[in-house]
Amino acid sequence: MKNLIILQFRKSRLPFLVLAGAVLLSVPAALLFRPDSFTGAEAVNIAMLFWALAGLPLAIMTLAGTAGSDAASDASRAAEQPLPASQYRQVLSGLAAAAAQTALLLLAIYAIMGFSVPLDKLNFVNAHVARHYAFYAAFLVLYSFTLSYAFRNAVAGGLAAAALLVLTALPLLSAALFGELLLDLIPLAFINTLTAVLALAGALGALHLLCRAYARREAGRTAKALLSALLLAAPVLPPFFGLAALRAKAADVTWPVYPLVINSDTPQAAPGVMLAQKPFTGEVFLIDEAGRRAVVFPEDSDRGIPNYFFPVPSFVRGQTLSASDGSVWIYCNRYDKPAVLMNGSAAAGLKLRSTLPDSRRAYLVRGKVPAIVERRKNGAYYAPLRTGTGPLKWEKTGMPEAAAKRWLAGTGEEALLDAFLRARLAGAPGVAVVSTDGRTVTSGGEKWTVPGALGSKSPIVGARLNDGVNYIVPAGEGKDYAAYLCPPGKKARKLWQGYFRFGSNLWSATDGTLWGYNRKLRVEVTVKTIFGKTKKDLESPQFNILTRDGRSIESFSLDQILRDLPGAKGEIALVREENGEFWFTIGNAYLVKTGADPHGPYSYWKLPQSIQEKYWRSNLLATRNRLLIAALDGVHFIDWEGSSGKL
Amino acid sequence: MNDRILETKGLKKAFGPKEVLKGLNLSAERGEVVGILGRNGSGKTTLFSILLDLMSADGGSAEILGLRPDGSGRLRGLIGYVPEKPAFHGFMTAREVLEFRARFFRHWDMAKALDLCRKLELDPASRVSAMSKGNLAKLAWIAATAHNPELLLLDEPTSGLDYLVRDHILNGLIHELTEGGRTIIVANHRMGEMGGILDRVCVLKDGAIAANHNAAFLTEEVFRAAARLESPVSLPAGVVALGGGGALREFAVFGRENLERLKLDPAFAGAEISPLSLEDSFKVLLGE
Repeated sequence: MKNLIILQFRKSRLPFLVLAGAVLLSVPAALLFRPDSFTGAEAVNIAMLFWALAGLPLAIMTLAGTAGSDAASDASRAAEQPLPASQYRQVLSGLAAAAAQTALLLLAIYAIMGFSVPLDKLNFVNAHVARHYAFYAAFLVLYSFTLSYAFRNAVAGGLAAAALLVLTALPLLSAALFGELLLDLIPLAFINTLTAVLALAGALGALHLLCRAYARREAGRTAKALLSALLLAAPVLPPFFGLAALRAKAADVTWPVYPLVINSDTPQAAPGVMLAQKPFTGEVFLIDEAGRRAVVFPEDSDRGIPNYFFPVPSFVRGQTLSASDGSVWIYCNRYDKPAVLMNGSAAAGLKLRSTLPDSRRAYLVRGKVPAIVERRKNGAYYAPLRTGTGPLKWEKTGMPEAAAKRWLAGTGEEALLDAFLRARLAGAPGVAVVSTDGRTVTSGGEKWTVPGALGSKSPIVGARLNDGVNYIVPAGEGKDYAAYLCPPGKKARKLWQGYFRFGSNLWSATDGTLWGYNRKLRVEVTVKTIFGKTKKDLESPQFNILTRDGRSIESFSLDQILRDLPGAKGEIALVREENGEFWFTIGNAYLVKTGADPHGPYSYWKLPQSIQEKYWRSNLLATRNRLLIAALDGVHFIDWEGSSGKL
Repeated sequence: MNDRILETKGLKKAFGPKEVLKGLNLSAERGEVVGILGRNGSGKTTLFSILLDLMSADGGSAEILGLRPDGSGRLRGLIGYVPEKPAFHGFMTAREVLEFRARFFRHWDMAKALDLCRKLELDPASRVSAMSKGNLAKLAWIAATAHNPELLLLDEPTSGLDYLVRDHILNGLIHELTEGGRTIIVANHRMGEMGGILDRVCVLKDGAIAANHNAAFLTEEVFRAAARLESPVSLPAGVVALGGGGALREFAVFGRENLERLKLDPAFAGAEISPLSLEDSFKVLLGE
């Protein structure tokens, strides 16, 4: 075999030497003709990148294609076939020589680049191509050679190989892009490996069959040619089936619809319903805990061929808000369609109340009455939300000059709204205002005095406990703060040490239980490496809890439970309290029920798999009776004792 | 030791609808020189390709030097092959060709190869791309014999050779080979020039061996009969009409017995009998 490879190398040494010389000559050429803005190294690197992305593929098609067509030529066969080596080995020697020449050229280019990819920061496509470059190069060598052997024509073979490579690589790239979005819906590593194995086996198998059919002129030549075609097409199949499977699975991926901003002024979402979206189909719907659903945006079936290969998720931002009659207001904004404002329920369906064609951003806001604020080109508009059929009554809102300037500059939107909403919030039910000295909190006819000034003089949203609306305020205490509870009909009293404020680190569970955290909200417990599992220092939240009946629990820790649960990570939230038992969600992965003793018995249930929450907030929504989970394959539920199902 | 060097049984090969070999049976003993006589396209090159394990048969079997063709190419290491159109890599010199081949053949004798170059007046330094057809043929001869094969397959081996070289090869090289016990299968249009060295001639016709004659029979027992016919005659096997007109006709008669039988036929009023030349015998065998 060695002698045959040497022979093949010698046969193609001229084109190889020309190409190798061109690679080497491009170094002084790049230095000579470099633009002033480039350093010498940058100019050479760019020349090498050109070689890697365009020159080398063409060189491979030329070298391997020529070798393949030469192996099939009558002249070569006449000169080489009398040698006492199998014809297949003789053909393989041509392939091996082309592969070796490719490897040498690649090595030369890589060496000139200093054995690293000379890009400061690789975008995803660059990184993917760099990671799979050797596979693509090997694929092109194998297929250019084999197809040129089959066609007895280097040009046709090289072009066909390039086309097959594109057909194979595109779905792989697309699937990898999904993976990059953390949508590990298919076993991509397996598909990649299978594709590589099939490419190698397919090309070598096809070459063997073609050799038997055309060189040895075996019987059944048509069948062998057809089988060869199938073998050559084989590596295209896993990426395409993978992509098809990926698309089918992606169509079911469900996310909650998140509001544009969340802060202390953001009204609570309508309870008992989840506004959910399927980003790869464009469907947006409202679903209640009984599984009834009403469509906001239907599935968008016409997304075009480019979208087939590179499916682009379209995300919707929006909010829900309870109306006084128990129905739900929905605001939804999708970048490619006019925003909509709807009203109704999951059970009875939704009615379009208004389209907002000029809407850049809009918010459902609390106030004396629920309302929508819309940002338009010429300013911000405000409309109270009243159920019924009449049109919305918009009024232009004034804005402070400074806020307007920041808004025009594209920033400060929240500041604008903040200023506006303060006025609307003041006097609204369940909202307290703070005196100018920051020590007095007033709501309705009630007034509370705290020992230190409040950190912020913004209106304070109250929380409804069993005894009525309570306010928790962070009052100054030396250099620190303490959280004070302002209960109805009673004096303010110190609740917890530390700064706690709604929308910052204080939240209300669906059942009304208040919980705040310090240290951090997320938890990182373990890191798995190829060397085993490494325990990192556990840094998990410590919770302060105020139950509906006014019991306070401080520094509640889940550390022991977090250590026990494999892979527990992400945000931890209290979702329910009942008779001294607490239900927490850990990331999107677990529902945990535990008593007040953090070292006592606990139960936990694994949640259906949902999109990892690296970039996304919780995919969970607690209702009165169960937890809704926007999962990979739709919306699931789990009740408080672990019974679960798909809605 | 088995003296049968080559044997094919019912060998079949088709290219699409065209059946080239239709159950060909052929054998050759050690030291035998067998001529394969056939017209263009009769399947001689296909037969050689199968024997060389370059092409697979569709049916039947072949055993050469105790081996069956299996696609491995081992057989070609034991066979010397002179193709009708010799081909070598144009960028090599004759010496490089020989040195390159030496790496593949276990019993390659470089000294012998260079000696043959000298005898055949082939400059080892000459480049293949610049060689004449005759020099390519010489190189093919050298490449085929330098590894001392037990079996030689010669496909039109004198094609392109000038008279002197042809004479040198036929009267020198081939004699030398046959005396060394080599078995030779030769296909040649001009089989007459091989006459002196052939042991046997097989006529390849319609994909099978249509006739198989010893060389002695062809030289001693084939006659030309020029006869006057007094009435129409039905020709027995072994008698072939050559031409003539009216009552005067010519026949080729294969075998003394057939000649005697012909003479006794009442239709024959008289005949002039003479030996048929080997060249003419081959023509008759080929049906020309």
